[in-house]
Amino acid sequence: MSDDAMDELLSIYRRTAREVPQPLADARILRAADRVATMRRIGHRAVWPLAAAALLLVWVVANRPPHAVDLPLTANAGLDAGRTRAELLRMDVMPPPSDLDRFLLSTSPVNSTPDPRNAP
Amino acid sequence: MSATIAPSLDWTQACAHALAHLQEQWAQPRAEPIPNASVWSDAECMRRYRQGDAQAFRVLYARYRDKLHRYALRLAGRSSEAEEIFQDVWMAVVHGKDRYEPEASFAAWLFGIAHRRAADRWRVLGRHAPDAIDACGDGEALEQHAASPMHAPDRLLHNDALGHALIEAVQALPLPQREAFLMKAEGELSLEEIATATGTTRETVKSRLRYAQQKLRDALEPWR
Repeated sequence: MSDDAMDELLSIYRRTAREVPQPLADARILRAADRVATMRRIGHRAVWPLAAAALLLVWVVANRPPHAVDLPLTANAGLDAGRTRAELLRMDVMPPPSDLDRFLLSTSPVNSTPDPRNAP
Repeated sequence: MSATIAPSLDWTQACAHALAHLQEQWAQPRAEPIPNASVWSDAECMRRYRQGDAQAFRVLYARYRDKLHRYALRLAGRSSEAEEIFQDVWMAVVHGKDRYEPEASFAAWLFGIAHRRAADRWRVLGRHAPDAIDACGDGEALEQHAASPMHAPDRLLHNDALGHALIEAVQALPLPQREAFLMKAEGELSLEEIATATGTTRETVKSRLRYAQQKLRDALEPWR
């Protein structure tokens, strides 16, 4: 392939080819490009409000009013609940059976061989 | 106690600085002066556009608008179809700007997108790419034109008629050869870049260009 011959062809071609796209296409493409660029800029700018909001939140948490820091109820509530639960677990919930209870709860027959002496 | 107050003051100052910076950002509606857009490289334009600089895209668009349009026009053959491919490609650039790698040539990336969009389009339409288009007549018309007494070959060398004959010959090339020639003529791509854009090898591109050159020279022979 001769470079000179190709260069000559390219030169003639570039000198002659002069078609351009329609202005409507230009407008449509540039409008889309501008819209995307604007969205990107807004995205970049939104970083600062978010960072400021995060800083503000950290600052508020770090500087809470002192009366809100140590509320005894919140700290002891769990402890009390745990202690009560342990006590309940330790508690003997079965009362000692009385003679009457043992008799009523007994499943074995009280007198399996009836006394024939009192039979009618 | 002082140990707890000191950080809170720092936080306050940091917040104040951040808010002040924020106010500055919102107060200046992009008052950046545009230095000299013509000296920006393609990669620089894309980098700026990625950051939201619409002007950088306009610079790129101005550089490649006509080239890409003519490439699509010669490839598609029909003006309406070329317009659609042209818009598709630029929309792909707009929405896919983050996929561009600055190490690669922007022109190769752009024409690669155009190649794929055109192929996709013809696939969707369920027909083959326009091959060897007869733009207005064929080689016979060219020869008649060349042989007319008003257009003596000696006088018409390097004039408009020769150029139009060349364009018609380009449109009559088989699609792969036409595409390779157009990427070289319009995109000024190297053999490697054309190979990358069309998904072939350098040797294949070289061969296509050689055949294209031979056919174009044959078509212009009556004019010489």
